Amino acid sequence: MKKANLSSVLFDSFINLILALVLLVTLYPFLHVASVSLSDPYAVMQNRVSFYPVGFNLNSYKSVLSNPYIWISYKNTIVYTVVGTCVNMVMTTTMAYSLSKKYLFGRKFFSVFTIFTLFFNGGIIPNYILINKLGLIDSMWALILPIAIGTWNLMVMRTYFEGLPSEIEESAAIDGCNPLQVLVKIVLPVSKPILATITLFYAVWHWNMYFSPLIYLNDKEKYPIQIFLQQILITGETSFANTVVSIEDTHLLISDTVKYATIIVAILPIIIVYPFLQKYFIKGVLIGSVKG
Amino acid sequence: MKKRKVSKIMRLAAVVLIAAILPMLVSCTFNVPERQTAPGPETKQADGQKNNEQGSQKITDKIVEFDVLIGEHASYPVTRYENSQFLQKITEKTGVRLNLIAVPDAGDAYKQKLNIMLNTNDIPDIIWTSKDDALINSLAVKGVFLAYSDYLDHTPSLKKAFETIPDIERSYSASDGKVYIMPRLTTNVMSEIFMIREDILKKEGLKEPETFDEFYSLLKTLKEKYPDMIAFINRNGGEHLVNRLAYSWGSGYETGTYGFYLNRDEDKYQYGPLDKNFKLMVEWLKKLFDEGILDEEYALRTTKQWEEEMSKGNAIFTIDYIDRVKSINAAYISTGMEARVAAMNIPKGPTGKSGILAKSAVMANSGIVISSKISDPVVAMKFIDWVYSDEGRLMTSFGIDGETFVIDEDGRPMLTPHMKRQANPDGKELVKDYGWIYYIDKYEFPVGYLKDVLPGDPVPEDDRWMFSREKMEQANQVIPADPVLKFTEQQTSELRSKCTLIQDYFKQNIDKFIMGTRPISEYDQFVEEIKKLGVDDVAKIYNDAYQEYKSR
Amino acid sequence: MRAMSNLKLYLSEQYRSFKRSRFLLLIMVPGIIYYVVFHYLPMYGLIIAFKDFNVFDGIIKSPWAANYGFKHFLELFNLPVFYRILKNTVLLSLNTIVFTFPAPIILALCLNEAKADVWKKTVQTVSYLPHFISTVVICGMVTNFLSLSGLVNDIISLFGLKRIQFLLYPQYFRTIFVATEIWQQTGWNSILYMAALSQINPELYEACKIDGANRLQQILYINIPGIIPTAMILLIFKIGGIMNMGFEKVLLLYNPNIYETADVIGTFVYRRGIVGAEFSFSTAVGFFQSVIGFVLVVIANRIARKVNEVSLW
Repeated sequence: MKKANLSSVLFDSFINLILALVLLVTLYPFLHVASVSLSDPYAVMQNRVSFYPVGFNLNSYKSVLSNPYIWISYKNTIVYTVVGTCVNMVMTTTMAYSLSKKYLFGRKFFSVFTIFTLFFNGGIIPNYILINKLGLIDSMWALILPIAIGTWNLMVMRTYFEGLPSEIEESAAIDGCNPLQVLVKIVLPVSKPILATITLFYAVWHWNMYFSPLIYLNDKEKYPIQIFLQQILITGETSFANTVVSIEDTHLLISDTVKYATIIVAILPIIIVYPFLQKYFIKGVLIGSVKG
Repeated sequence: MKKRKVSKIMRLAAVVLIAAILPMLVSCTFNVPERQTAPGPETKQADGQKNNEQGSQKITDKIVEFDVLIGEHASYPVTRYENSQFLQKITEKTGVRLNLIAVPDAGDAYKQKLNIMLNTNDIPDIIWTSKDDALINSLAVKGVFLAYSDYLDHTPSLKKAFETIPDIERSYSASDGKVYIMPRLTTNVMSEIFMIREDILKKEGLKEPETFDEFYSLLKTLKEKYPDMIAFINRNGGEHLVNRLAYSWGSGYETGTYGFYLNRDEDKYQYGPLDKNFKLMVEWLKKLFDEGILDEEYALRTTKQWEEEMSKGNAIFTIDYIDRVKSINAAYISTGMEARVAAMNIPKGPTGKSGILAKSAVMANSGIVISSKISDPVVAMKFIDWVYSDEGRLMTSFGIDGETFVIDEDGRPMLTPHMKRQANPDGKELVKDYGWIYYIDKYEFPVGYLKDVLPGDPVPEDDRWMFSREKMEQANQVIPADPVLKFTEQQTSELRSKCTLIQDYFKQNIDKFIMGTRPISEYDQFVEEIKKLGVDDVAKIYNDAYQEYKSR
Repeated sequence: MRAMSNLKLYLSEQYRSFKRSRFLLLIMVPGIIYYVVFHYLPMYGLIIAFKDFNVFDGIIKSPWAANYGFKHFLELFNLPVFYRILKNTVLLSLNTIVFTFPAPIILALCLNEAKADVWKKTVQTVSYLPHFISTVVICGMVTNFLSLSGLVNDIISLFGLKRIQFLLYPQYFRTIFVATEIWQQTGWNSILYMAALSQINPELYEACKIDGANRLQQILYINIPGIIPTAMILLIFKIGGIMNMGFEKVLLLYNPNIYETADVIGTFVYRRGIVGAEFSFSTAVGFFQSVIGFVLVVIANRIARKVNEVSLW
């Protein structure tokens, strides 16, 4: 008995050591960004801020939050994310479920059909023309419909469905459930982990969208938060790729404290979504349904 | 059993129905309502009369709307028409209402959006900051845009600009000789300056160097006295370093044209790194690097790192945009340091030359383009004319006459007392309170033209910026920029295929020579290597284009 | 005769399969419409790669490129730097895959073993934070760490080694890039594996314990096989993406001194593309990358099917 305990304790300590290391290393970027956003701009310029604020003040946050467009773009992002993710989940789940069944007519064909699109696409020009012809320019739906299904997510979900034991569906069918009921009442409740995960992935995908809104939206009132954020972040960044001489006016530069405060404001909601979804990642979800 | 089944189905149907309708409901509630045609701006008759006294006439009596694609800088956010006194005032004066499509001017964003709109024929009425003159000009020639040259009789201010600045037509006309992009005109040609820690010079009792040899000795002396400081700091790598120094060494290196520059003495284009004086400069830089005078991290030093060292007072000399004098000294002042940077006269190189290239007075990277499908071409042209007229210039640059600025006795604009400035930090701001749009002004006034110190204000602390400006102007060391050349399609494609390779190869080797990774004795060999990439062909193209430019 | 009856058998099998999948096909209809409208319809734009696209003629009427439409591809292959950017793309991608593939799996396995719930949640939440910090900011941090006075050099000087400007030397770039990827993405990528782990039947653990297995053995024989299907699919996708090395991060980290190892296809085309909108050329390059990627996926898929019976199709 004692021997087993010792190896278990060692094992635990080892695991926890690794996790602690991961924690420290990955915490730094966030701490640094947060600290800079709360520091005095000159201290930041002199690079005196590492992982705690120097010259603590909330001026940057005041400046960011007093801009009406942060609230407008926030509202936009939330709407696009909620609506978009709903559409995504309905479309993806139905298709993933169908593709997961080995007896699906034309299964191989449909699989290749979807995966092919991951590699080959016509490029931005024909896509823009299409969106234009559909009358979706400057509309929310231009951000949602063209990505109604993310093929990568589709395949991941399909894999999960394939891994479900077929007994649970068979026993339901025997009980007299029609295919729709099997899907909704049996398969979905048991798939909570993957549904939660893919929902999270889609939500984050929408939250982070920058290029599509930039190209397809014209009205500033409809811009999502990433455009707001990128605009503030990229201002004044000269990389070595910049071969064109740029005319510089320093009054156009934005202080790092404001940039980082904007980052924090932009990511705060989405990073706290996951802990709430974690309850769906519980073990033994499967057990209940088979036994029941 | 059946009852339960039915209710289960009902529940399911209800859920599905809600799941389908809810998104639509949500989106309907939150949708921003369609852009409504705003009612005409309230015409305050008294004000209108006063302003019209100066002879500005309304272009059109009924309101005309134009969709305008414009860049938006994060520091100067675009305001909605309904909230912008500035935009409404423009409508009041000219009868034109601008519907702005604001695209973030960050990185490539503007360029990407513009390219896509142009390439898919989804062209807005007016494009306010066009960066792609080659593409735009090729489209213009096929009739996609209006030619300013065709409407000069309607546009007196533009006509005058064409006459006083011949470069507009020489550099920015399309292949049919007409001008389709009205460029930004600037009177501010200042570029970069040599700046040194004035306080250190004073403290050590040293004077400014006259030649580069004296310059080297000066830096060496200072480095010995202040071993922990960086004597010569530079950002953005070796290419920019040589660009800033090359002219004084009797050579040249223009990063914008891949290292090819106009040799004004011989009136021809050549490739800088081939000159023997260029090699002397590289050797000089290598000497500085070996002796620890040149920043040991100069090759990779980013702007942020540069700012850090400068603002901590860790660096002695640098070459940078004149505006940096203001921002660095502001950092010193606010942290109570005695350090100050100020302009230094550029020393003479071995050929007796000294100077640094300026910006061009005409910037077609920033211009106005009008779609040929616009609802009212004459009104549009007259409106652009207004932007370049005396009244329009003042308004687009400084706001609303009588509200945000007034004209002083000597004819210069002056801030009104309630506006924000150093003496009144809580004052009103152009963007926040009046909805001023940053990029609309296309005719820049000299920097500092607007008086922002009113009689009665406390004297602001000297940030050496004005001093530096005047010093540079007096020393007459700002060299006119190279002309902007035009190329045929074939020339363009050949340039594209060769120039990136040449520039890349140079950039990869320059730091190696300076830092000693590659022996300087191999420099001549390097010249042969880079020539193989087609330097002579490119030089010929530039010279042909230059001849063509001169003939116009 | 035999052929006829075989054919009949095949057809009737197909018919049965069709009948059985009626419901499935029905619910797939919106998805299929989606793919047709938003993916296959615009695919005609790929012919831009074979034409000299100009906006005035539009996609359909633009003239065909020289050399039977292959002019842009030939231009790409004939670039003096083509071999270099191709090599860099492949090497960078392979290095990235090899090192970033196991990391999230290991993290997920470790997290799974952690006992205290709060500890587990905390580590997990913090680990995916870097994913959300914009790449621009992360690369700024990395550049600072690697400078002569930066954190990394502080550490190595403690060991008595000389300070190096890491970003100046081509040989360090791949390591730096991969390390940055691991730092930024591991936490986020482990979420999917956590979901897969939670799906594993707890009865398997019970049975294992009864057989006397220790925790390590449990991981080896239950957890890992449980996530292999997911891992395989992800790996196949990654292999397909070898040519499409996301260039944004390279762009932010590289500089002319290390083009030898850092310049990838994406960054080279980007540098060139700044001069003018070369849609035909960049589409051709993209098409080339797609073809290679697709071929790789087909191969990887076949191998995966043979080895693991897990495949994309």
